[in-house]
Amino acid sequence: MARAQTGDEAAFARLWRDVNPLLLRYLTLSGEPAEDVAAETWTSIVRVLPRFAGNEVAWRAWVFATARRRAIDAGRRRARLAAVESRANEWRPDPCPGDAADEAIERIGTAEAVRLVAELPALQAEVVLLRFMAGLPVEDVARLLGRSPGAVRVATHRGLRRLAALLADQGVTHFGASAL
Amino acid sequence: MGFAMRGRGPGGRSRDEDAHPEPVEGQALEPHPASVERLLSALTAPAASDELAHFDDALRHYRAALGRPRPVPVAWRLSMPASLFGARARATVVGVAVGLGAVAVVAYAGSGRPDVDHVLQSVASSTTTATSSTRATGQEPAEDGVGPDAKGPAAFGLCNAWTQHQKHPAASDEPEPDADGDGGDWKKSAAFRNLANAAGGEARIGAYCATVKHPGAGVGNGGAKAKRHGTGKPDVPKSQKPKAHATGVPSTHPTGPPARHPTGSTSTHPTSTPSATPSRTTTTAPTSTATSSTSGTSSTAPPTTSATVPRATSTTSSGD
Repeated sequence: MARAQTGDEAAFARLWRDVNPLLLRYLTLSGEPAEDVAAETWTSIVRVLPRFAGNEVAWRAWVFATARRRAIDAGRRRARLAAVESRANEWRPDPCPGDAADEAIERIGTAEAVRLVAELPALQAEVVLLRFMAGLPVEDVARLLGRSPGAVRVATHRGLRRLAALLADQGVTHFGASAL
Repeated sequence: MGFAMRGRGPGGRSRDEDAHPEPVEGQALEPHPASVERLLSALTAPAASDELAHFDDALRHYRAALGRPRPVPVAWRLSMPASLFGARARATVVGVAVGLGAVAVVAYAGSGRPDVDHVLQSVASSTTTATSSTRATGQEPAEDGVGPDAKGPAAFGLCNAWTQHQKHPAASDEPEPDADGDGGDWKKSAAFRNLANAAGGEARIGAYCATVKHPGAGVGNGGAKAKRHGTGKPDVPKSQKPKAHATGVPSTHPTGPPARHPTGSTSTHPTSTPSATPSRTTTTAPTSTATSSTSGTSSTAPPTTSATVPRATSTTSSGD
């Protein structure tokens, strides 16, 4: 981090490589073009990067908080352009056109996992990704989302339960641990 | 807009989760089914290629935001105070080191910024490409370096450095912080090779240097001197000790008459001046050679790029 803050491009590349894939997966929830929002996120981040202070968790929390703001901005822009406010509330990306139950899921790929998480209610989906994908502590997630830590814990609990139900509905659980 | 809008009440809080008690407060989450565990693992799976596809955009913004084209190696930053403010006793060592061994600094300073491809490689690889590149190219740094032109203005500084080495051969064997610890191999440096080639062989360096005159005006011999002489030399930002020359008259230098040094030395050439003179000249001439070479090569991105950029990253990576 310190070297990236002083212009070391290789160090910055490592930071980017560590975070950007997770960022794209997280931004899938926003309903906005994840790559576009991620690009805006990095544009914002590099401007403030030299002044950033904190550890890796703080770094990730900052990146995801920035991404969230950029996604919200993008959603507002899109809503204004489309003049369809209801679309602004649309969380989920286009669902998989095929019936997941018919696909006989034998293993869960990253895209499929993100798609399933996106089926959760908004807060639960965000919390699940921020907690288990980005690895942020409850307190950081709470700050990022503007919720209480308790609300984050509840959302996490419910999100995981609902995920289990979703997977059971799709027959994933029947494959057992050997599925992967 | 899903992040901000969905499921929130007027206060920005979720109406459902916040209104409920916390069933998992203070206790660990119940064990997840295996399917959920697999799903959570899939969320943190290694990056797919398309997730690493737009680094060049981020890098472009990074470069613009940081406002500097390339990192400054630590060794370079550390070497500058020594050459600028070091005691006269160290000047000889520094002069030799900078003149002969610091071709790496010259080459690095003259190189262009690391190109996108180089950094992209570091992104694409799971290990740090910077380290491997350093190992790959650091084995033969001298062969890739161009070095100063020993037939041009740099000859004066190179001769000074060579002279000092002849007088104090042990001094130049000290490992230079920027030379991979092989300070004893100064003869392999591009600077020395260039000097030997210009002289027609190592044995004739002394004779060649006896004919080398002070570069004089118009060839970039240090920014501080330029102010004194007023010869319109390049405004190289590396200031030198102004006490090196008392007169500051440009006409006294180009041809190398005896009046070159205010100490009253009767020698016409820098290589034969008394011991006090080299300590002044070596603190300035080799460094100014480096800076002039820098300004001369930075715009063209010579082959030194491949040899020096990994060196720079190696230096910085070692501090992590």
